This record gives sequence, structure tokens and C-alpha cells, in this order.
Amino acid sequence: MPTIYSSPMIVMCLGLLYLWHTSCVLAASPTDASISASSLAFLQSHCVDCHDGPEGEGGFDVGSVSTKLDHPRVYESWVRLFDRIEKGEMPPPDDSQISPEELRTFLPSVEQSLTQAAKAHRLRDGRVQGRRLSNSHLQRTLQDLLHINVPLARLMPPETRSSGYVHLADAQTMSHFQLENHLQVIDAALDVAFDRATLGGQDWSIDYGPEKIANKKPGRRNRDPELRQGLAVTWNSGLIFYGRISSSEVRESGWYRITLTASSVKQPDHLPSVWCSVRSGPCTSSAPLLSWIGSFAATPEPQTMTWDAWIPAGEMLEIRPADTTLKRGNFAGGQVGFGEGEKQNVPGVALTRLQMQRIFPGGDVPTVRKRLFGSHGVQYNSKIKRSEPNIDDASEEIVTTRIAEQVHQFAQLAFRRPTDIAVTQPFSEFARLVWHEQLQSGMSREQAYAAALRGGYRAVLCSPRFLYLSEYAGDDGQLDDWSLASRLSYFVTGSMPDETLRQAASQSKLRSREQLRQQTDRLLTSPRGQRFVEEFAAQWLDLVDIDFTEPDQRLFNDFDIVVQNAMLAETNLFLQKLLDENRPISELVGANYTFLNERLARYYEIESAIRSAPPTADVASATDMNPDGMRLVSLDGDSHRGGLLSHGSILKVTANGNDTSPVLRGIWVCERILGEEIPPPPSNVPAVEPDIRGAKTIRELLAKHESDASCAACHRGFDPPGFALENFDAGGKWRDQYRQLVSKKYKRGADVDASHTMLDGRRFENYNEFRQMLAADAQTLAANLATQLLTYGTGAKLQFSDRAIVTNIVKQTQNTDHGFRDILHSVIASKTFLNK
Amino acid sequence: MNQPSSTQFNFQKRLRRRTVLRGSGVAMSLPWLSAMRSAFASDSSHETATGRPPQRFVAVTVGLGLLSENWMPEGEGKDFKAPLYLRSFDDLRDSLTVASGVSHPDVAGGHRAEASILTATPMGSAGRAVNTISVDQLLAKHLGDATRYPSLVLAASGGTSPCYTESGAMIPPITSPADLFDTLFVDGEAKHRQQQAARVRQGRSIMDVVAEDARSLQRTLGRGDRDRLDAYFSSVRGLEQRMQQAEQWAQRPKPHVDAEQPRDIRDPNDLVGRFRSMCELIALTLQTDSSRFITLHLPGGGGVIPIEGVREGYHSLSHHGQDDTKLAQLALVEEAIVSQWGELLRSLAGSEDAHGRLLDQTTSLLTSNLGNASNHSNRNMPALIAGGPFRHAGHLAFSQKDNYPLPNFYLSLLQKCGVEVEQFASSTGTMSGLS
Repeated sequence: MPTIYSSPMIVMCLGLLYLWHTSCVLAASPTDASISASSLAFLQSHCVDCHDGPEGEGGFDVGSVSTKLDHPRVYESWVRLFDRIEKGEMPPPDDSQISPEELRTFLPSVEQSLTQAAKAHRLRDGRVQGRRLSNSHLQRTLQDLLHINVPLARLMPPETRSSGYVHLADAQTMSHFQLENHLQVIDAALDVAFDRATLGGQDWSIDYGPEKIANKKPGRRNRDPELRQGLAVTWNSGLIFYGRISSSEVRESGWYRITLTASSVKQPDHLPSVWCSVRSGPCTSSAPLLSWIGSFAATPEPQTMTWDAWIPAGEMLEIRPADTTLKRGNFAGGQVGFGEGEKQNVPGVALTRLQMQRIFPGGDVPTVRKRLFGSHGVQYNSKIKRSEPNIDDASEEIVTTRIAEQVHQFAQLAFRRPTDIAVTQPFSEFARLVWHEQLQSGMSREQAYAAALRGGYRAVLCSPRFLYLSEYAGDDGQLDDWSLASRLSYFVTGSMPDETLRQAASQSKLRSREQLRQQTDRLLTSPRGQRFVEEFAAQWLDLVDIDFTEPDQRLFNDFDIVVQNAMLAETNLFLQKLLDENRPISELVGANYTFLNERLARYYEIESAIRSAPPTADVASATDMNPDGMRLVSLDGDSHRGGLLSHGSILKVTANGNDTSPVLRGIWVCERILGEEIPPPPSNVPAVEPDIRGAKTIRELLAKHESDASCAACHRGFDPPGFALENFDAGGKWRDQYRQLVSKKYKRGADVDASHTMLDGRRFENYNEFRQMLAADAQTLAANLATQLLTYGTGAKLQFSDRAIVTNIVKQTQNTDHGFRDILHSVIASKTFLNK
Repeated sequence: MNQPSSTQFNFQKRLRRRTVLRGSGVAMSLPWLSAMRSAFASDSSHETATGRPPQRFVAVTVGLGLLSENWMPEGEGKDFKAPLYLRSFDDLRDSLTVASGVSHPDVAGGHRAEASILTATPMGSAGRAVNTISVDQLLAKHLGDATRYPSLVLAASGGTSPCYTESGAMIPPITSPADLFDTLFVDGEAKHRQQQAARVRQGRSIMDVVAEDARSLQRTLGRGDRDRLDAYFSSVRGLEQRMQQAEQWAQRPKPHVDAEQPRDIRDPNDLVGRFRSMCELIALTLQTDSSRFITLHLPGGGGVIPIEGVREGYHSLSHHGQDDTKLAQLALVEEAIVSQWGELLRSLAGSEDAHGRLLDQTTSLLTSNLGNASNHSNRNMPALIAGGPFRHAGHLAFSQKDNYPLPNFYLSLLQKCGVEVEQFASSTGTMSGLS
């Protein structure tokens, strides 16, 4: 492969180059489908001028093109060739003229060959192979299987995202390091479950008034609140973990329900409240990291709010004003002395009451016991201060039979399908072996019994039947009931099928469109399913990266963590509304409403919008269920807000912290919203190096690409949507001018020009026109959503032969203007989803 | 694996002869290492055959690159003029080669190229290309059987490493110095140890059960699924092997060091502090011959690194856009990183055994996937090479325009260590100018 390219032509060809030279990972499939000789001749006659021999443009040599479509790489190369020629991107329009007649022969012929090859391949191997549970899937499956609710994903090695998603089967890897880690994860899960079954739940709760919350006597200096007029007060300051409540430290890791009554102190006249954050952490200087729990708007009137949060042992709560626009107190030496805040006249938060209670959302103790030990119950052993499985004086034979039954039942659930005794027997056998070993080593029968079950479950959880979604299909390629139940369940809830779904599978009641629709609707209302939108958007829209950059305080002086969390809530509530109300897909970018709280509205500089909105209209009504005060807000037609592309969350994840790049944002819009995949840039063309000294604008730099026909082939596609968003800075705020660095200070720079012309010739003058243009193209938006959902739901990218399916989904949903939920239902009823 | 040659001797007594090991800052002058090796490490077959000193490799990889004007020396050869970051390296000059104008052919993708730092394999953008084995793992595969841990994969924070298995799976790094210390030097309470040993033993039996299960499952699957399960199979076999080795080592006590278990720095932004803690453990690992192939990744986080004068997030600083205040802050961070690497080299230079200085048996590489983080370029990677069996060359200046392949250095390294390969990734030969 040449390392030096002399021409910018590579911009267009890199995708090809990459496909051609990467070694094959999948074995070739024995299909006869191949490209016809005449198609190959077409390619050779039209492309040879530039792509001749190993030194051809972009390293693409027409002479080396194979016609054998059974090689996956060759197949993908032809798809790409087809697309580029069909779109008129290749050959470069200026260099070559192809007669329409020639195209009319070439394109359908290639299309037919590609479709045939795909069909043959799919019938034999299916579209998705050997998909493994993702970290999140594994965590939830273990939680549901064992009725525990501990976070386990943090014990797992991080996953790489491919095309945005972590669980695409083709990109998943397996190694002995991962398997070793898997053993550790299931040991952790089994330890928690067995402890819960034998030790029961430890009740723990506190109910503190201001005296117990405030841990600061007059004369003392620390970072806890102080007692002021009978309330526990923390002043606004930049001091890290000032506002910690030492008396709230928990001794055991677990879920806690936090109920707080609080009000504001010395609230500034121009604000309706003082925004505060609730976080947890060890709150010591060696461990400054804090976990987010929630935010609330403290008002002069005390209000009561509730949160549920996982708090690790040794951590405590930190509750403090968290609005970076508020005046801050200054405290010397990293501590706050009693009364030192009073005279500085800064806002604060006053706590009246704090309640914390340990909760067990995973399930109660009898449920865990039943899952682990079956219906025979437990008895308390005062010597070891634990409960033990009840085996009384059951004979050896009865005990070993019970072990086998118990392991068999557990395996059915873990393997997510009815399983022959013959398959589970090695696991039961193994459990029995443990039973004998333990007895021989002097263990009591009860302890040996528990150890045997634990060993059996441990083996079951290491089986590939648990780790992988073994999907079986009939001769027609359609998934069997149990494979489909799992696919649907992991899609919507990210976990194993629940009891109702298992029953439906066992009765073959997952066949009709209507049955699938009912199950999907039901799952979406379950606690897991209610997080479907959030989970999907985290990957689809890169929201999982929201924390990656920390905006420069000099540039973004009113950005803070409350704003960031409100941005995430805005996007999640918005998408949830689209789904719940089956809103037309055009609203995805064109909505004239959004969700805001007072803090985010102020950040966006549209406070007036929220003042006219009815309080807490659509979101849960009571303050204690909705402490961050997000509410549905309608927007004027000329507002820049409304629609996904104006959400601060999206604008932040598509920027790099301080700067925006039209290229990055443009590619993002193309790939995530318009469904156009952009090939990677060539390796030896330098990226545009941002120069924020303002000598050159990014538009001037990128203009170079557009003046070069070859660069322009790609840049003309993604530069326009990127420039359309230039009025939004890297923190998601609206700007009319860039900022420019002059002698170490930021000054107002050049005007933002967000106008551009789309690839198809449509012109827009500003962001609002661009937004309308996108919203008007509902079919493109619908096709993209269907594509993203299918990718996320099946764990494989869409292929050439799925294109017709997507077109069909778009057609099916026409009568509701492509309602969001209808698209989801159509996706689930599509062949791509129902077939292997 | 080979058994130690002199298991019968009373290592407890021998160990007490070893004086102090208080972290890496303390220079060691006693020839203790060879005395300990017989207790803790078995010579791999290669060394036994050749009688050469064991070879070690420590790679430090930086996620966000280094500003080239601050690490690239002026002038060529040994008499280069030290750039900003190498101002404090005068005492190490004879053991140092700075290669400029090098990169991995065809590797692109900005941050994504982190996956290729030690594999030199182009990963493409869709992440569909399959990675290949990293140089540290290839060394460990051939020579790692001599020590308790064939390799150590470490990171200052985060969850990614540039180390990959033969099947192209990333090896998750250890990020807690306290955990690492435990792993290396603490035998733990007998009861806990027994429980752990029992679990490992049971784990091995489970691997037998699930291997059999996977075989029966494979018979019911289509070809594509079967191929995927092959990766599971080899993982099962690999883990079984690892567990077997671990069981053998578990019967021998771990080396005892007088250093205390370090306290983890919980501030994820304190990159340099975390790097320092890890460096101290790397020195102890090499001194006790607990492992010979170590990598340490310094990821590029978004947070503000707590160094006097640094106010902005690391990642945002790396996109400096030629802003002077950012460049100055970034230089503070990067100089601290390079200086800390120098400290590690110094502590190895101060440790000696029968074969001489530990530094001369340990090749260390400081590099990054990014030659220019501001525009995500993967050309002109920083490559600072120290120690090991090389005749160091000072500044090796290759062309900035037409880069020299860095995989050639990996090939040189492999061959010097005694791994008989003719090619590594896209290497075109051994590294010219470095013999």
C-alpha cells in the first residue's frame, strides 16, 4: 500500500482503500453470486485512468477488483462502489462523462448481484452472529436473575463503541482476560445474592433535624454546614465538598432513599430560587470525586424532595448551592469557620430535615432465597449468625436430586430458553461434585449444599449459552420464539425476558404484529423499559460522552454541572415525549417546544419562555418527584431552540470543549440524524489545525477543500450542516460573533456566518432555515431512526439488502407522519428484526 | 514452565539480607537482584540457553501526545541540544535515543490510533478492523513464563490500554497502585488466600465444564456463530493455562518488600501523581523480577491536572490552537510527565545485580499515538527510547515529511530480547541508526 499520496483524490477513495486492504475476518461463504463480466468491464473502462495499478489514486487499483461476492470485504467494496457511482460522486463529475444508458445497465445489474449474494449468505448464516451480552446487558441480567440491584458494570472492562454502539457483534472481542474478569463479576454478584439470602437485609435509616445535620460548633472551621437561625446552612462558595454532611456517611454500599427539606437563604432579588446540587462522595482531599444525585431549586419557602441513589460505603452527602452565576464567599485555608459566611452576604441553602433509608429495589429477601435455594426455605443458625438452606435430614439421594433440579431450573432462566436435561447435566454434575468435596473437607451439610449450588450457578454463568445470545432460526431464516423474546427484551429493557415474555414465547404468542406491539408497549412501561430512550440516546447521540470535556471557565463562565444535567434531562424528556405521544418524526429537529427548568432557560437566555409555561405541566407534578423542575415549554417560531440540534447536550458532545468544528458537527449530523455514513479522512491529509488567535476563520480554511473538486466530493456533503450549527458555541449557547483571543483576553471576533448550500442545491441563510429544511424531509429522518433502532436492536449494522426493509418501514409509518412509536413498532415487526 | 533452579534454599534468610526497598527513589547498590531471582523467578528457557542477562521492556504511552517543539532536540546525534522537556536528562544522555520523524505506516484516526501505539495496526474508523498482538504481549508470550506475571498492563486512570491479545482483544489495565501492590507483594491472610485459591481451583474445573458445553453448543449452531465461539474457546483455554500457572506461583510466597502499600490517589485528574505512584511500583516489580514486560498508559482526560499554573482541562489544553497561555500550561503538564519518566529511568540506573545496572537490561519507550494533538495527527510520533541492550544514538532525526516506520524499532527490540521474528506489523527491517 502506498504511504504517500500525490493527489487529494484519496479523500474520495479512502473508504474503498480501507475495505480492500483489511484482512478478512469472516470465512468466505460459498455462494455463486458474483459481479457480471460486463459490470467489471464498465468499471475498468471508466476508472482505469485514475485507478491503475498499485500506485492508483487512493491505492485503489481496478485491476485488483474481484468479482467474487462471497468474500465479505469484496462485497462491501462493491456496495460502496455502487453507492458512489449511483450518487454521481464517482467518477468525479468534472473528469468523466458516463452516458445515462450505460448507467441504466450497470447499476441494476450490480444491485441484483449484491442482493442475490446477500440473500444466499443470510439464509445460511443469518445477519448477526455470536452476539455477546454487553456490559450493561450483563449487569442487568445478573441483577434480574439474582434479584439484586448492585452496580456491576463498573467491575467490567470498558467497551469500545463501533458506529456509536457498544454491542455490535462484529466489533466484540473475547480473550482470557475478559473471561477472567467475567468470573470476578459473577463472583461479586453471587456473593451479594448469597449474603442477602443468608444474612437478610440490613435495615438502616436516619432522620436528622438541623442540629444533627450541622456539624460545626461556634469557633470551629470545617466543610460541614453551620447552625443559623435553627437551620443547617451552607453558603455559596467554590470550595470543594463544602456542604458535606459528615453524619450522613453510610457504612454499607447500597441503595438509599434520600428525603430532604430545604429552603434558600439570602436569595438574590433577581432570581426565583437558589439552584443546589446533591452529590455523594468520600469528601476527603485525597478523594475529591463526587457522584451526581440530583439538583433542586431552593426557594424561601421550604420544600421537600426525594431521590434514590446508590451510595458506596464510606461516602456521605454533599448538598450545596451550585449556580456558578451566584456571588461566592471567600474562605481562607480551605475551611469555613462558623459565621464567616454571614457577613459576606452570599446566598446559601438551609436544610430543615434529612432522612435516609436503605432500600432494596432488587427484591425482598424471600424472593432472593426462593431463587437461590428453591421452595425448601431456610433456617437460622445462631452459631454462624446466618440463615442456611433447610435440608433437615433429607437423604443423600434427595439432596443431590434437589441440587440437580435447582441448577437445572437456574440454567433455564440463565440460558433464556427451555433446555434439555442433557445440556444442564454437566452443570448439575459439577454442583454435586462440589457437594461431595465440601462434605469431605468437613463442611456442614447445609454449608456444603449452599456451596454446591453456588458452584453450579457459577459454572452456568460462565457458559457460552449465558454469555452469548445464541439465536436460532428456522429454514426460512426467522428467529424461533425464544431467540425473538430475548432479542426484543434486550432491545427494549436491556435485560433477559421477564416472566410474561417467557410465557408468550412458550405459547408461540410472539408471532403477529399485534402481539409484538402489545409486548413492546408493556415492556416500555416497565421500570427497565422506562429507561429505553435514555439508554438508546446515550449511544445513538453520543450522550454517554457528555462528561468528556470540561468547558474553559474563561469562555463559559455560566456553565455548571446543574446546567449540564438539565441539558441531559432536556434531551431525554424530549425523546420520551416523542415516543410516548407518537409525535411525527419531523419534530425531532423541528419541534416548537422543549423541556427546560429555570436554570437552563436562563443559560439559554430565554427565561421569558419558561415564565409563560404552566408549572410542571407534563412531567410528574409534585416537586418531590421532579426536584430539578423540568417542564414542557412552548417556543416561538423564531426561537433558535426546539428540536434536537439546538439541545445543549448535543451541541456539547459534538464540540471539543472550547471550540466548535463544522467538520465534526457536520459529520455527526450526517451520520446520526440523516443516516449518511461518512468514510474516514485520508491518513496523510493534515486536519485543519484550529487557530483561535483569529487570524483565519474556519470558513476560510475549509473553503480550500471546497475549491478542490476531489476534497469537495465529501466536504460538500457534511460541511453545510456543520456550518448551520456555528451559531451555537461549544457550550450550547447562541452566539452572533466568534470570540477571539487578543493579548490573553477574549474579545468579540468575526460575525458567525451559518449560511450554506446543501449538496442537493438547497440554500439556507441561517440555522432556523436549515432546521426547517431538515424537518421538511421527514422520510430521511424516519429512515435514519429506523436504521439506528435496527442497529441498536439487532447488534449489527444494516447491510445492502436491509435497505428495502427500511424503505418499507418509512412507507408503513406514513399515515402518522412517521410517528416515533410507530417507527419503533415497525422496526420490531420488520424482517430484519425478526430474522436471524 | 520451568521450576526455579534452587527451590530448596532458605529464601527467608536470604531475603533479610536485602536491605531496604523504599520506593523507587532509593538507589540500590547491593547486588541483591540475582540472589532474589532464584527465589522468585525462573529463568526462561531462552536465557538458560544463552546465559545472557534477562531483557525487560517498559512502555509509557501518552494519550494526548507531546508538543514536538518541546521534546524534539536541535541537532543530530549525541551532541543534540536538549529541548525543554529533556533539560533534566543530562545524566541519562548515554542511555537515551530520541527518534523524531517516526510513525506507524497507515495508522490514522487521531485518538482511535491509541489502539495501534504498540500494535502498529491500522484500525480504520468503523472499528471493524481487527487489531493484532501488541509488542509487549508478543514479548510476554515468548519470554513471560519466567516471572510470576508474564506482563503487567497498567494505566494512570481510565479503562483503556494499548495492549492487545492475539485475538485482537484489548487488555483492561490495572489503575490502582494499592491493588497492584497487593497483587505483587501481599500474600494476604491465610483464610482469604485459601478461599481465593479454592475459587481459582474451582474456576479451572468450571473451564473444563464450559469447554465441553461450548462444544455441544457449537454442534447446534450455524457456521457464523461457530466461528465466533472459537474466540470463546481459546479464551477458555487461555484462562485455564493462566490459572494453572497462577496456582503454581501461589504455592510460593510473594517477594517481600519494605515499601508500604501506596495509597491510591483518588483524584482522577491527578495524572502526574498517579503516574508517579505507578512508576514506583514498576521499579519494585523489575527489582523483584515479578514481571519483565510492563506498559503504562497515561490517558488524556478532560479534567484540570493539579499542577501549579494549570487552570484548564488537559484535553482542552491539547487543542491549544496556538494559544500561548494554553501552550504554556500544556508544557507544564508534559514536562512533569517526561521528568517523571526520567525519574523511573534513574531508579533503574541505580539498581544493580550481577549483570549490571537494571536500566541496561530494561528498554523503556515513551511514546504517543498523537504527533500533534491539536489537529489529531498521527504522523511524527514522539519516540523516546532509553536503556536496554542498545548502543544509544542521541537524536535520530528522520524526515518529518516522509516518516520512518516505528515498527522497525519494535522489531529491533524483539530481536534484541531474543524473539526470533523477521517482521512486526508493517516493519521494513530493524531500526536504522540504533544497534
